[in-house]
Amino acid sequence: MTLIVRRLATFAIFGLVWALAVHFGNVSPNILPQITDVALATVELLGRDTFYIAVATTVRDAAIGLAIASVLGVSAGVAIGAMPALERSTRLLIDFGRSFPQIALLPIFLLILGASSQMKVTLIAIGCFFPILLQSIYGARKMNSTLQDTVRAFRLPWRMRFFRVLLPSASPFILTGFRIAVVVSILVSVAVEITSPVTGIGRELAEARDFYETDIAIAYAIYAGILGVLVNAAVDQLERRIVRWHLSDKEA
Amino acid sequence: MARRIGKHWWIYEIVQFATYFWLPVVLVALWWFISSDSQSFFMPPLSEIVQTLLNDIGNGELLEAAAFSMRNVGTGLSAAIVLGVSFGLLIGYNSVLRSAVWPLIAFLRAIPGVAIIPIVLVAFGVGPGPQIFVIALGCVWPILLNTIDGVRGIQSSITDTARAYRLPRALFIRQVLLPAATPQIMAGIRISLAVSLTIMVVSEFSAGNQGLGVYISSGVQSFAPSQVWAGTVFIGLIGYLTNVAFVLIERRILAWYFEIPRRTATKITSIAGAENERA
Repeated sequence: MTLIVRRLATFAIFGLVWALAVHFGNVSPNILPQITDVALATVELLGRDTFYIAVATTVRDAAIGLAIASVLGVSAGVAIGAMPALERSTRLLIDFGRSFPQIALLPIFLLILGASSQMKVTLIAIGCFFPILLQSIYGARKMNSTLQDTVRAFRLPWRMRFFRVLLPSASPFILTGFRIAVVVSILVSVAVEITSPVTGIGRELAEARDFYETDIAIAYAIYAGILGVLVNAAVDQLERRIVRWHLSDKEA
Repeated sequence: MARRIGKHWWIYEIVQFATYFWLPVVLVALWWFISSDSQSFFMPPLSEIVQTLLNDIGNGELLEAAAFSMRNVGTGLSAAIVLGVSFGLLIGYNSVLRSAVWPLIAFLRAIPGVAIIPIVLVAFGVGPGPQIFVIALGCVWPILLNTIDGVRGIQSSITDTARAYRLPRALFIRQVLLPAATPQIMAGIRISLAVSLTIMVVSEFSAGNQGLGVYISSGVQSFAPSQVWAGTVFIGLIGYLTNVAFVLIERRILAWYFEIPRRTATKITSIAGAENERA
């Protein structure tokens, strides 16, 4: 009980500091609107059609990009992880790719594909590819040697080896990569929308900001955060369902 | 390893070296030859891109832009490290405070840093100040959360010992809490490094008159694709080099940590593994 009181108190203090700072600091609403205005804006957005369209577009494009990245990242990652020679040969490329701020590719794809959903999806896929790839490599590399020897002794055909052995044994790691990628997909999506004229949450936010509707812009930023929390929770559920065998294995 | 092969060990070394480098070399060569007679306006030949790159490095334009951007990244990241680590130590060690502020932190850090960019830039205008502010704001969360985790992971026997010896608080923080949390803090900083580059690029794309992002986007506006490509390649090189530099610094700071025998190190089985877990 006291815990709930304490937690509510921190939120109250946060809100109070905000309210008092704006009120007594004479902060222009352009810079930081009053917290009550932001609260009203979050409610107001729920009545706008453009809000739902923006959220749906962002989620759809993020999901498509994520799906493409998952297929490519898992298949490439498991293959690389299972073959040490391939792992060595691709290491420099992968290190380069993962340390690249992928959003910097935006202008190139803007030139080639134009300001389109395609361009956004491509960038999301590139951004999500690397976390999934790295975790898949890691998962496939971690396969225990008994399993490896068994696979070799039975001369399993590669297709069976991939789908029945490598993929399941790497799946807990792959899901970790997927979890990172889900958050990345929303981030890249919002970043692309902010910097280029394609529809989505980020676009609505940037446009609200251009019209000096800062409260609406902050409300959109909050919804972007809530979206991130929701997809993360969804992945949590998924993870629990898919790798239940792995978790129960650990407990035993 | 090389010794065992005998007097031809150098052949082995060359082969080892080649296995790492052949693929990137082949791909760049392919890019070079395939693009050499490219008619597409948006995909200029690699030779042209390299020429623009060398030209703009030579006349200082790119280096100046990079210096501006990286100074912002460095300042913003440093501010995030100072704030994240000090608040992280405080929140991580004080369990009452931690349980109270945790939901607020979880809520605030969920708001993506890139979404804050337009709000801050329109409010405070463009220039180094607002840029540094958004970078610091985006980078503080991974460091804060990792520091809290790191402090929470300290074995109670260690803190009990410190208490039994009545270590002065400053000494306790500097000699016990901070070193024990450093592996986690470094993991947080590594995440923030990637975040800082992303925020730098996005904020310079959306507004600004200086920096690497501006160099690239002005290439878009003036229809100079080779400038766009050159800037992008250059950002890639900077990203790669900063990451390499970070790993070297981390190895030095955490030398004691990586030397801990495998069985006693609970979380990390190898250096390569550690890097992957963090990614």
